[in-house]
Amino acid sequence: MRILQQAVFIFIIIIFLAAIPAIIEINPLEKNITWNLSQMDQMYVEFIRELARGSLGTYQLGGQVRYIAADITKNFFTSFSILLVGVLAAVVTGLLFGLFLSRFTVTRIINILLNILAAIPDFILIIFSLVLAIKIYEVTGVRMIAFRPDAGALNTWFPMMLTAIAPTLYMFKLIAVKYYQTSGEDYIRTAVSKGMPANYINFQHVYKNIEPFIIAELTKVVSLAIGNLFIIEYLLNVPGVTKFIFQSNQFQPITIGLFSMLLISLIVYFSIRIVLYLFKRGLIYE
Amino acid sequence: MEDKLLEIKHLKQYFNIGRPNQVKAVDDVSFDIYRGETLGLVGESGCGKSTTGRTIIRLYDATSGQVLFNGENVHGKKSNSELKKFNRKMQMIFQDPYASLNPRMTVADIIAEGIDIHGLAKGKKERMERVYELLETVGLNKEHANRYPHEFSGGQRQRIGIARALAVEPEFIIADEPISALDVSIQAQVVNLMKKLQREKGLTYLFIAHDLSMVKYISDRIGVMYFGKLVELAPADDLYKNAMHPYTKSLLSAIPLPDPESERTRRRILYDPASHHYGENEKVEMREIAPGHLVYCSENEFEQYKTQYKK
Repeated sequence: MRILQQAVFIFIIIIFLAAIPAIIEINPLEKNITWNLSQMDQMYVEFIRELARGSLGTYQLGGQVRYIAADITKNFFTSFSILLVGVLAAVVTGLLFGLFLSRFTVTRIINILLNILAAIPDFILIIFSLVLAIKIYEVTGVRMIAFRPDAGALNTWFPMMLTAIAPTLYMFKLIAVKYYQTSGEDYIRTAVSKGMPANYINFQHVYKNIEPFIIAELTKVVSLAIGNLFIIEYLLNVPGVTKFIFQSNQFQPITIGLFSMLLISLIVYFSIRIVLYLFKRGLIYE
Repeated sequence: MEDKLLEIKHLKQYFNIGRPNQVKAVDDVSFDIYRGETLGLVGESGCGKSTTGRTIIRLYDATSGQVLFNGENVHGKKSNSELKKFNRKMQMIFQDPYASLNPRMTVADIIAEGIDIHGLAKGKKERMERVYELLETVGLNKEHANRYPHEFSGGQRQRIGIARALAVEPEFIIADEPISALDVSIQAQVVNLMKKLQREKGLTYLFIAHDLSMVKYISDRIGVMYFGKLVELAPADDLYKNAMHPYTKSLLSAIPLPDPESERTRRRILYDPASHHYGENEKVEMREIAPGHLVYCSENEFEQYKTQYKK
């Protein structure tokens, strides 16, 4: 019942947000904003009618009108792959450097570096990374990014990396702090005094106690990655789902874009949960 | 009582060495623990009792000094198999029964961990049988095996901690304030359980605590620590009857008695380290004022204590 309530609430919020670009109008003569609320009911009726017809509707691309259903699959998988890789990289890097490798001296240096990076706002990191990629191209001739949507891996790997930055830093800080907290507990001291190997303690005692926090913060990590995905797809001209959101102020593509983004984030969230579950079943409950 | 199980020689444990905030948590402490006895270690909070216990079990690497267990140096370089053997023979019980059990593991897994690491059970069945046996030994039952620590009271958790320590059949157990976090009625149960296990299994204990009455009850000998140093070491009864070091006297004068009249008239003896008036080159060390009764004192104090000692 609660899930149903939440779903209805999310649906209402999304269709309201998607309608805003269409109902807000700027009057250049009177230099004010007008709210054209009378269009809303017509837009909603049209949206539901399209869905009932089994169609996702159309959107405007330059001068042409295209079917959303014809284009969205490729864009959906592009955004999905970027987000999945970004969040997965965040969880894996966070666990490696924040927990499993944190006792090594080299890792401590990496940890200091990650802590410094965590103090910089993520959008500044994205812009700096772009400038760095261009500088590398200027100096070495090695092309790291491409802005052409059909450039294949060159158009996707860099966005994946940039999407991963903010969630990685967040995840790493969370895990490192929890690791520090947990490693001072008496049950860890007991394990050490019993002569258990460091890896065994990390897997059996530390990870088991940190895992609930990782799962609790996973929604935050996914939302951080989505926030960055919006910026990155726009800046790097990646043909993802955000294309439908930023292309025009039409209600239909924005709504479909936002629902797609919601679906992507749900799939990514549950995929990571499955990965963590398999990791636990495979390595911890051997 | 003559068979030494553990010899601690000039043990030092310093933290932040070479920095302005250097701490001498344990400073040149020497004592022996005989097989089958309970040595109580008392002193105020922060005097280095727990650090001594943790250094003995290798939770900290000693700054200097030796810990000989069955004649072998614990802190020397050791192979993995030697370490494993040592870790099996020496176990520790911690103060806080809430923090010392992993909340995400079942009682069976907590107890059996040592059994698994040391390969003490041949199969799952034998492992579980051993767990049930240990639970019964500490006054719990096999229905408790599949529960999680949060489902138990403080006393029951401490029993689980004891069962975990017993799982690997140790010779020596360091009990680091095992009853401090428990209420008084449960304290007696846990201490009696420890005494019973000692009789049955021939265990040797280092019992770290600050409850002097409980320490007297369980210990054969008692060591008193002050500021990282052992200031007095004597048989339990002797220490209570013939406390020599002013700090021990101060500590004993702080024991409350369940008698309102004596509590009203009780005079606390305050300890001032400056009261010793040690000279610059005066050698201060542990000296034996009576058989088995050692006091940290100078030559002058030694003579004085000897005359004061009531046989």
